[in-house]
Amino acid sequence: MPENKSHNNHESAPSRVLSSVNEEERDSINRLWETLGQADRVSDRITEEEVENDLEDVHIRLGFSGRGDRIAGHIKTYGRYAAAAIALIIAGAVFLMLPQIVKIPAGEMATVTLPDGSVVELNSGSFIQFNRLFGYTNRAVSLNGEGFFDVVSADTPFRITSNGTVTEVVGTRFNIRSWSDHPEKETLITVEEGVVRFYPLTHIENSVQLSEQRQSRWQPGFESPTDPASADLERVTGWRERKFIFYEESLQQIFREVERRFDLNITLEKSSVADETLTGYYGEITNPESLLDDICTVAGLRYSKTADGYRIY
Amino acid sequence: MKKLTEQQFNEWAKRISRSDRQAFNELFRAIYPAMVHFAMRYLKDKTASKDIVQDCFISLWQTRSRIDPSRSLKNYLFTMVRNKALNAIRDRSSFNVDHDLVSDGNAGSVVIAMDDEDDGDGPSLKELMRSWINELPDRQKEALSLSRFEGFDHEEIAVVMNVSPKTVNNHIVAALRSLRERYEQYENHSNN
Repeated sequence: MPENKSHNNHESAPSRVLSSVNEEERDSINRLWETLGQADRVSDRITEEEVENDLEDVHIRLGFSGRGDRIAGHIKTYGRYAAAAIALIIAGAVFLMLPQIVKIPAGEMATVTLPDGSVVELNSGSFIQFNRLFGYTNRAVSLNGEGFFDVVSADTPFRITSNGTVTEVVGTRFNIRSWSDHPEKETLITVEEGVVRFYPLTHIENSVQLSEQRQSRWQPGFESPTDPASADLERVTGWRERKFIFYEESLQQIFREVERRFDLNITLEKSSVADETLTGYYGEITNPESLLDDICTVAGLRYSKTADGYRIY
Repeated sequence: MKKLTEQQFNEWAKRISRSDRQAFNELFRAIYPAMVHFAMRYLKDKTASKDIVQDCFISLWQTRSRIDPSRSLKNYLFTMVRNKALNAIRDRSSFNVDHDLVSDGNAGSVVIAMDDEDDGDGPSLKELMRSWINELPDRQKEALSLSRFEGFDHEEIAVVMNVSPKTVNNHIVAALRSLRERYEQYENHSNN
């Protein structure tokens, strides 16, 4: 059934109707059909705003938690030790080799203690995966997202694979940001303490050594990771305190981060600005709108609320 | 808005059956206005129409695990709206099935529309048309309105009215013939 109704554009009667009347009748039936167009009584249109309001009502009736409630709830329950807040999905309980997956829902953050005692703080929407022999025969983890790792010392090297890179450590503290939906599939590693070896999965020989306060990045197409450069640790790890810090980040990436952090959907309709970059620093923010107000003012954009997020135009 | 394909609906049906809320939102945004509009054909009242369409979405979500992928989701939704609308009419006698009635209780008599362009000259053609449509038998009126005003094709009307496309065609042809008769009388009359 048509979703778009322009009432007066069905100017001739359906062919099936016409083929079942006499030839002499056809003209007059067609004329009548056209004239009938003006007799429609239902002319109300449903605006986009009505659709969003009504969708929100449906969400409430279905018990999909309201956006506001959800964020407030998460902030209250969030804590360095709020392991209870983790949605822990354990797959493949039967076979040792099947991976265990820890996925952090959008809007939440969590701290995970791995079997070897290493601790990982994961940013909203991230997930890590490791197998059941982790801590016995290996210390291998794969990451999609952003995590701050505090790795305990052990003889077995601790290896993190993400977006085609390997980060190898013995015992240290560092941050990895490596989203599989990043347009360049970039992996950025920043070391807070100790020494880290970082290399592309396919070129172990092209590794770089990173020490304290240093960072390096790699993306497909790079022969080797960038040379270690000094890093602003507060900027990199601000997310752990729920700060919102971005440095010459594209609008697209900033909105992705807002989506994950607050569990909402943002549609950037003006795609021409997606690659424009911005720099900003925010302390703990509880309301995405305070952030969107600023970003939109600076970037010359506007936003409106939808049932599950925002539309930016 | 571009016309949505059956394939798109199929995709939504599959995702919704897997509890994908995003798909539910997409479907809602895509089709809610058309469904409300359709419901208003039966219930004149916009609020009542929105209520029943929202009920349909609620029940779609609540029974999502039982969505039958071999059935058209679109047909399923519109059929559900019609059933709920007809039930609402039955339950609340204050509503009237016909939409082409200018005001309740005036079937058969011509109502003069005060807001019409040509005032002072009796009922306009538009008002006459509405009252003629209103005097058609219910099924003819429904088939004609869905065809002419909602732009549904015969097959779509057949599904929601639960009759064969041939019957739909018979209803529409019969409706057009009786309207034409009245229209011609009117034209002859005003030419004299």
